[in-house]
Parts: sequence; structure tokens; C-alpha cells
Amino acid sequence: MILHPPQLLSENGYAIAWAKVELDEERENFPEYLWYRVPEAFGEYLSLQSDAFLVAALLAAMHYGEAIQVGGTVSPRLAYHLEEYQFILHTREPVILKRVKIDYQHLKPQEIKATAVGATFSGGVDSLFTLWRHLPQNQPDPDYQISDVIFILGFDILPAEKENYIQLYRRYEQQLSEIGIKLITVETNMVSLIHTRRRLSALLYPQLLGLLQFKDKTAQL
Amino acid sequence: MIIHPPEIIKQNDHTIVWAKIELARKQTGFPDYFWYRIPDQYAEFISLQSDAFLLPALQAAMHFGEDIQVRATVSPRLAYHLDEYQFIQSFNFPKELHKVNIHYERLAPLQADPRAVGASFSGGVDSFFTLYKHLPQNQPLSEYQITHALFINGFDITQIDRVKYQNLFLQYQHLLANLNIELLPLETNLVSSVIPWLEYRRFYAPVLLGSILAFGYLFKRFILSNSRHYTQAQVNSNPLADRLLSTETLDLEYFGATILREDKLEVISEWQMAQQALRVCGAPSLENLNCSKCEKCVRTMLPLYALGKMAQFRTFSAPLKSNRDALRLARKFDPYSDHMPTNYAFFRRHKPRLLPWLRVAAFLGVFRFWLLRLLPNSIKRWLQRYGYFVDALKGSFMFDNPRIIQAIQSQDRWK
Repeated sequence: MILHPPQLLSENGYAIAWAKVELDEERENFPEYLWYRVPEAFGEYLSLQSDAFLVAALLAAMHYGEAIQVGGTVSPRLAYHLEEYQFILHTREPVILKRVKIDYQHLKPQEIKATAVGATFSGGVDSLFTLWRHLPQNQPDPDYQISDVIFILGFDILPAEKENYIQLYRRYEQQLSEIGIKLITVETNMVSLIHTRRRLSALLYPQLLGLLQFKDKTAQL
Repeated sequence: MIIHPPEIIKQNDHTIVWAKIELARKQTGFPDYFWYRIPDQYAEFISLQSDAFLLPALQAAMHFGEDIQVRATVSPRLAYHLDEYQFIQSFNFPKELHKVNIHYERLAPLQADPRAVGASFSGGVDSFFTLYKHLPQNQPLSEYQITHALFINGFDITQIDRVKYQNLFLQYQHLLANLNIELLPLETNLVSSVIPWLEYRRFYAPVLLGSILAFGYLFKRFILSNSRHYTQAQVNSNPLADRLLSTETLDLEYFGATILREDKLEVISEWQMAQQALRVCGAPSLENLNCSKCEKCVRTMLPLYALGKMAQFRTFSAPLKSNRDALRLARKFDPYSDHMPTNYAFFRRHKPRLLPWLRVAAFLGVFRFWLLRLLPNSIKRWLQRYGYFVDALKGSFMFDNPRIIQAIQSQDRWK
């Protein structure tokens, strides 16, 4: 698998970070591009490191047993840990996920110092509980008080359900702003890397990590 | 339990950082003070946060079921994770450790910009393997190349073996200097907060972690060598729990949990430095670092023998020279250790013809194992006068130093 360097583009009030993904062998329904889209107001937060794309693509590469060549820049800390990370995934799912080699072109930490404290938010029990426990009244340490949450279209809400997503977004955004938390919308196609190839429930977390890598300002939690 | 603010005293070219630990219910033999002692030249790296005292005290508090009051500053990141850390420990060791409340007087990150990448070094298989894999020729990421190693007196070497520690330190210091790695000496009494209440080989983590955190101004990253594979039963030091103990200025990393001990041995078996200095057992002799008799020596020597590398390793008092030697020693396998199947698997790959005989020898060893276990205590006591069945770790002041205690007592404002 070749993971080309990420690029940015603006379109209709949105900023899109995307990277071309080339498989060694052609696979049915496998996307040619991996992308993340946010409203332009949040475009400045998009990172052009390959981290967000690598974490998401890794699961597909492990599934197909293809070594990865990463064209863009990757965090050295992330790279250091990916061997162990693969070991853990492979140990849990030895038949479906194989350990693969990753060749990095550039290893360099992101230079921007992130300041926000983030969490994912779906409106579910876990995310509401996490949010509650990290509000100022419950979490005295300001370094662990959540300031931004990301709400993803293409994670547990599929693109076909966009209307539903927009309605939920409006409701959540207002409620969260009342407690001083910014809701950031992110749309992505990353589930299509794996969807139909793996059980959805088993792939969610690695894919979610892709987003956390991606949003450099919301990488604390 | 009250953890008083850490203080510093100077004694004979050494700096001692110590904190008074007050238990709500006194436990006979539990130390009144936790301390770390280092040569003065490293004093600038010592932190006066309570982090290095909180971790070892936490394990004791969890065992005795006492809430903690910390009367000095603790890292907010560490404090944030201690709830989850306690959950993991009490989940893994429900009989021994229970969750307790911790009250912090002050939470603030250490104002430091440390630079060093550290690793602990005992001369054993895991630490040699970690070191080897983090040398510049094997680890391209400069942020993960080890610059300093920590050799602790009072971790697996007792106070009584002080001369042994000094000699080993000088030997290892010289070897590591050739690799541009600085070996740091540190002495501590933390083990005396573990023994005799908890089984040390399963509850040693706070001794190591406390020692690392004491060097708050030195380490920005510390690579812990995992002695257990992910698929093996974990001790209280494991990748899931220990990584939670990072602070704002220190990243605790784990290395080696994906590789079996026998495979680590294979990697370092070609390395001349390991061949010269491998130390896997606590034998008191300095001529040979390893007794060649204990279970740990057995499970180290057998894979080396299978690889045909035994002769190169000069630190064993009785290296295996023949299949007969190997089979004779196999009786000392611990049949309940998860190292036994991994040793078998290693033999299957490297010396398959010996494996059936090895299994037979180990099977016969099961009778020996149970015979020794079931021996009446009166006979064990009688045999102790000849040096058998002696637990060297349970003597008084094995892990404490009366001269240091005396110096601390003279400064103790909370007496």
C-alpha cells in the first residue's frame, strides 16, 4: 500500500484534507482517496502530517497483508509505537489482521503546540459520561477540562443519514455551547476502507484514532 | 497515610532526598522514611515533587487499605491517571490491593525541560535487549536512543551486597561508556515497603517507577523493559498500568512485551557486551555473575545452549557443555512457570532432537519440585544452617541503611 502525502483543498465553505491510497492489488469498493472534511472555520486546525491517514489505513493494510509506504511526514512517537500496536491487534485477531512492515519517508513531530482538550461526542452514554466527568465542576484540573468535542459524520452515522446528522448537530451544538464547549463537525470516508470487509463494531476504534490524530487541537483525550 | 513533603540532605558526597511516611495504623517493620541517595554530581537532576514518593506509598496504602494525604506537590497528569492505575492494580490483584482515596494538597507540573532518554539496567536479559534495540545502529529515531541508564542499589541487590553492587556498577559503567551511555547509580530503601507484606517478584514496580520519577530534571523519556510477554501472566509492572504514570515532563514507555524472553536471548546472544556481562541471578559471587543452579539460570542457559552460544557467555559458573548437562539441569524447571512452554517451543525450533528428553527430564523434576515444596518446616529450618531455604530478602535492613536513617532522623521536623 502506498499512502501518498496529504493535501488540503477548500470547497463550498469546507476544508478537506485528503490523501491518495494505493493498494498493491486492486480490491472491490476500496476508496482511492481517504479524506476528512470540516467547516472552513476549523480548516486551520487540519494537520498535513500523514498520522491521521496512516492510523486509518493501517487496519486495511493489516487486513490485506500489504506493507505500507508512507509518503508524507509521520510523528516519530506514533511510528515507534505502531509495531506494538500491530502486535496487539494481531494477537486479538490473528487470522484477519496480520503484522505489516511500514516504511516511513519522513519522521518528524508536528511543530504546532496543541492547546485544546478534546473528546469525541456521539450523544451516547460513554461520551456523555466522559463529558460530564470532565466539566469544570467535576474535573478540577484545567488541563483535563474538555474544551472541544468532535462529532463525526461517517463514524456511527453513515453519509446516507446526513439529514439526521444535521438535526443532531444543531441540537448538540446549542446544548454544548451553553456549557462552554465547542462542537466541531467532521465528515470522513474512512469507514469505507474497511466496511464490508470487517465487522463494523470491531473496526470503530482504530478508525476513531485516525480522527484524534487528525485534529491536532483536540488530541488530549 | 500521610506523605510529608520531600526534603534533601547531604552526606559524604551524596545527596539524599527523603520523605516521611506516616501510616494511620502502624505496621511493624514498615519504614518511617522513603529515601533515594545519589552522588552529589547528579543532585541537580533530583525533583522535590512528591511524585517519586507517592507511587511506592500508593502500593503500600492500597495493600493496607489506607487513604493518602499528600502534603506536597504532585503532577496533575499523574494524579489524573492514578484512579485508573488503581483500578487496574486492584483488578489484577484483588486480594492484595484495594482502591483508596488520595487527597492532594497541591497539583502542579514540574517546571523542567529534561532531555535524557533513560532505561533501567540490571545486566539481565530484558535490559540488555532493550539497550541493544535502542542503540543508534538499531533505533533510527534519535528521540528513542538511550542516553542514560539507571542501576539501582536496593532493587534486586540488597544492602548487604553493597560491594557486589559497587563492583558491578564500575564494570557496567565502563561497558556502557563505550556506547556513549551514562550509567547512573541510585540507592533506595523502597523495597522495605514491599517485603514482607507483598511478594516482591510480583510487586516490584513502584521501586523502579519511584526511582525514575526521582530524576525529574533528567529524564524526558524512560523506556521500561518488560519482563513479561503480552500473552503471559502480568506482574504489577505492565504496559497497560505503567504508562499511566507519565507526567507532564516524563513519558514512560514500555518495550519488549511483544517478544518472548528466549527470542530476546537469541537477539543478544551475538552481542559481545552481553556475552561478557549478562547477569540473571542474585548469586553473591563476583567471579561469576550467575550461579548456574537456580531456576532463572536454568531457563537462561538452556536457550543459549540450544543456540550453540553457551561457550561465549562467560558469566555462568558452570556453563552447559553437553546434552547430559542440559538434561540434568532441566529438573530445576518450575513446572508452573509460563517460561517452561516457551523454552520448549524454543528447543523445538533450535534443537528439536533434544526436546523429548528435555520434557522427560522436566517431568521428573516435577517430583523434585513437590518434594521440596512439601518438606516439613522443621526440616527446612534445620537445612537453613547449611544455606538452603534461606530467603535472603527477608533479613532486617536488607533494603534499608541505618546510617541514612540516622541522618534523616536528625533532620526530621515532624518527629
